[in-house]
Amino acid sequence: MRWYKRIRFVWVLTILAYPIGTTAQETVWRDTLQAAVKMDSRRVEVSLGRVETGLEGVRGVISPMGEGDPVRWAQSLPGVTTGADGTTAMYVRGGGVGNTLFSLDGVPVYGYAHILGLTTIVPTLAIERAELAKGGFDGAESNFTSAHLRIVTKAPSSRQKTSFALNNFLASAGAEGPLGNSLSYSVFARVSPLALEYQAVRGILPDLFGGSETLRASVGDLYTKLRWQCGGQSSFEASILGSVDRYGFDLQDSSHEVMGWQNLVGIARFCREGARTRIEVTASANRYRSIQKQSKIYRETENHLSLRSDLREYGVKANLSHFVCDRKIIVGEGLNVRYAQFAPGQVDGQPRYSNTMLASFWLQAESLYPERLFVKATVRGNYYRNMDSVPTNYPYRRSGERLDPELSLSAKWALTRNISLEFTHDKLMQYYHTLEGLPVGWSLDMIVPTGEHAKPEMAHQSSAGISGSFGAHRFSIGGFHKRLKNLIYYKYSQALFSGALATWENQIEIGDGRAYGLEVYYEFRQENGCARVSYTLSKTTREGFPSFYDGQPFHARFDRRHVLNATVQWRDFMATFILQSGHWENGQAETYKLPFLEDSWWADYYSGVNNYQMPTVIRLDLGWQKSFCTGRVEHTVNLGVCNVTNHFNPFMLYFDPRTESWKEIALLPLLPNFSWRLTF
Amino acid sequence: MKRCCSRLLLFLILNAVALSCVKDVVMDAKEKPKVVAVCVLNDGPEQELYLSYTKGASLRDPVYPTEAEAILVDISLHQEVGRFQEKEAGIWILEYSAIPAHHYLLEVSVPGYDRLSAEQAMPLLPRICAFGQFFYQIEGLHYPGLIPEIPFIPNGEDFESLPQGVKSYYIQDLPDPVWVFARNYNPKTNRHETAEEICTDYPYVDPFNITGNLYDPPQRTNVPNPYMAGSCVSKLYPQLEGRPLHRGYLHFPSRDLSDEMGYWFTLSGRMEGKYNCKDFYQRYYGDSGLADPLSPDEGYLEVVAVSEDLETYLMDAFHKQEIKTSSDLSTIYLRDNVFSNISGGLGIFGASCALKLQWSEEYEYVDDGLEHCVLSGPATAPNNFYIPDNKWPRR
Repeated sequence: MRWYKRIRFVWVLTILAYPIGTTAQETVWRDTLQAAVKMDSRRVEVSLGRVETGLEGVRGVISPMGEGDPVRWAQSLPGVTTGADGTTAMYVRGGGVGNTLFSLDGVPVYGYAHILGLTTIVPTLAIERAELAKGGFDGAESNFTSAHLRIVTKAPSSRQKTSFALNNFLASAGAEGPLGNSLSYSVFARVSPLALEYQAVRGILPDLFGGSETLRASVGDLYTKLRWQCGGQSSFEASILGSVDRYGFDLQDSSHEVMGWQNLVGIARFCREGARTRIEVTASANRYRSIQKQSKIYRETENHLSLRSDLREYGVKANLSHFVCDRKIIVGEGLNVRYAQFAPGQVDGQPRYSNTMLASFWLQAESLYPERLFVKATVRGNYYRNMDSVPTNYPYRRSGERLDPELSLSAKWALTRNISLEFTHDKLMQYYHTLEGLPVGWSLDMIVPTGEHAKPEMAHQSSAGISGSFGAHRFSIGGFHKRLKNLIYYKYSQALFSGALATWENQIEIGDGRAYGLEVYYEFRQENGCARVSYTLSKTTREGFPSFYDGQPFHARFDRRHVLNATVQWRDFMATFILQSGHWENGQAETYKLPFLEDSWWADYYSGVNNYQMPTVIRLDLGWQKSFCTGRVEHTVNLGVCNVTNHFNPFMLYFDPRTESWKEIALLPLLPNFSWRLTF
Repeated sequence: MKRCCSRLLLFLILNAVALSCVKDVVMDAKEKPKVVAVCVLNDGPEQELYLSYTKGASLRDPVYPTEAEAILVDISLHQEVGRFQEKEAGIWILEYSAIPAHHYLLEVSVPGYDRLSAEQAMPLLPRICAFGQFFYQIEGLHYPGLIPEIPFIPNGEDFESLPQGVKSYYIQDLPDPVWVFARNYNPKTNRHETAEEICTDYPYVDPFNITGNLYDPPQRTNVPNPYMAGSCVSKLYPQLEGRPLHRGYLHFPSRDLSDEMGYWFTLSGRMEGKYNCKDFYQRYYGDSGLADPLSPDEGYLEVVAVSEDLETYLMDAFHKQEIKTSSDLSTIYLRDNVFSNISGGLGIFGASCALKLQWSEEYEYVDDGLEHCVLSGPATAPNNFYIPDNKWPRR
């Protein structure tokens, strides 16, 4: 096998070195065509497959934190379904929560939720723009089967700027500016006073909390970037994002629950932009850890249940794109290599790491013919190896190795000046799985790799539609169809809490999924305000799991038939109305009487999973935003009320061992919010 | 500033109030209920079929089909045995005695549902009997030193014995798996209840349900010794001391004992209430044999041979019941259904042959170091013991 290794080594080296050779010939870079989508702070050039917004668009979404974040912005778009009310979980076009890639400057971030899922871990001040791709993906986007929410951070400001902000749950501070002629920096940090708030209120009104409950919370994040501008064309950036979420809740009966997750992402990026060529080389290291522990008295016995997930990923990638054919065609190619270690298991158990390598090579061409037809085609080859797979005697490929192709096509044809037809088709592969089938009440994301039994998830997705604009009116309407293969479902929930998790691959069932739906977007914009409505009618099912309904289709957990988001903005006031069909949980058992020799007993019968529909989510949020200056200081104030009608929208379910009953908790009943940001 | 602070505090209070919103929820999926059919054939004169629907989590009482058609077919004889008639809500009766080793088919039709069906074969009655401590001559059977008393074997006119307490049990063959349990009589509820723990020295007992407790024989002192003056210490089945206790049931897997000439064993456990066998000899020394002569307030041992699917069901159901009463919190996440062999529905179609045996609360003198105590000693298994086929109940 030496020749094989040598060829592979040379191939990798060539790809990585290729950009260095090409950059020397180029001088100036001009922005290439985006895939037919542009969006400013309050206005969208609509498209079916890809939407982009700037920082103001992100901030403009009403949220419990007082100002929006990229996920809340994405959740307001058609085709996107949210997780439990108020959280940042996203389900796009029938995919699972782990099928949407959240990336920071192109590097995956696996635990992006923050403050119990109310916001994301990326400080808003660090964001330049956000982009949601739902179809017609680029070559550099890989290892997901549903959507890509891409966060691009901004370059540090050329003048010294300092900012402070305070909202319901976070206090933040940031600074950015030059460190010389070519060096600049930015630092943004946030910390949550949640535990202090809780203690203050509990001290004043102890009866509210029964007197004995305590909340411990350690929540914060830090983002820092150092940028070196090497002349006019090249830049080097090094950035670090770290976040901590840890919550502990003690009850009077000596039960307690701990939940937490941490991210640490380090990125080093070199970028060179020439007249015809753009090169980007990125190296990254990423660690995501999460734990959830419960200690509860159940039937007079102390129970300790715990789960954790640990993922380390190291990656190198190089992307190159350049104009050819008199700037009519953009050709791109790139290589992305990542080495990852996974350790799902119990908190107190000995971690067992699975080691994997994923290398993707892609080629892409996009062209614009006489400005009426835009076409893009991408092919990608993935080499994946799980190094823990059992060796076999297969002569040409080692066990745990696989080669998989991917394909993306998109086209947009301008029928008239106002109306365009669009089409996208993608074949996608995903090698990291987020286990579905965790018990009700456990919100941990267990990420596991493709292995001997767990094949890579695969999606075939097509979408088509029409979009247009007439004066102040803009709209799009389209449909999508998606087939998912090799979805994994952890069947034996109870075994998660035993040593059996170490052999998780033996506890899974593999099945398929299907989703189809209609996406509608409408926007009306005037000088003093705008109105936006997005509506999704969809059906998402899972099928082919032998243990559930004999392989027949059943609801995906977040199969929300109707999702409506309507926003009206008039001057400084904004109102958002959200209506979503309830998602699906595992219903309680039916019961029936059975004999047992001379006795009888009541047996439980579980017809399947995801068979109980939660109530419809209805929420009306109101907000007001005002910016003003006092001297050199710029103030931005957001005030609002989430869920003005105080509709009970369950946030999560949990089992109360004292009463041996299930309870649902709402996180956002009539929640006032504010944020106040100072920049100088 | 002070005013500003108090406003901020009010704001935080409102937030915290909002965070404490909790509701009870009954997650009833409200799916179409399934039909449940339960029928365990036996060799008695009447067969019972229980028909019901599964009950959703929000319902209080079960619902029963008001219309149904249920037939039993003897596959071995290729003929329909009869149709079940509704006796009361949920209970359907067929006057028929199932024949050991015959195969049966149950078919149930409920309007609005697919036809339910299941097949099952009747097991054979196990050859297990009880013996007293002292053995006497049996006509036609001669065993040096040990003479069996076989009070439970019908047609017992062949045997001569004196009434004595049951001390030992004998298995001659075990073609089908057998479940053995003690039924205590509870005078408060006027019902028989299964003894919580039981143990045996039968070497092939299934350890699947051992509780972790060991048998510690109850002890009596100052018991008058009929053979000597003075008193002695006596224990209840001292030969079982240290044996693992099983939760409720002893499970004897089927076993070919033809080459082993049977097994002797004893039983004890948390038997409570009246277990009196002083006069059982007279009561059982008749053609009818076993259960009928028991007085209603008396405990007894039940030996049930079960069919293949019933065996699978019982093992699974035992585990499911353990889970329901477990204090392991993780069990609330289990979503496994109990075994069912009913095609098109739920429930169990099984078959069993039951045998009732006496158990004796007989204390045995043990060596307490006093010379005046004469030890009776445990019953000793006779060598080459064998009871001819014609002495056993007909299969």
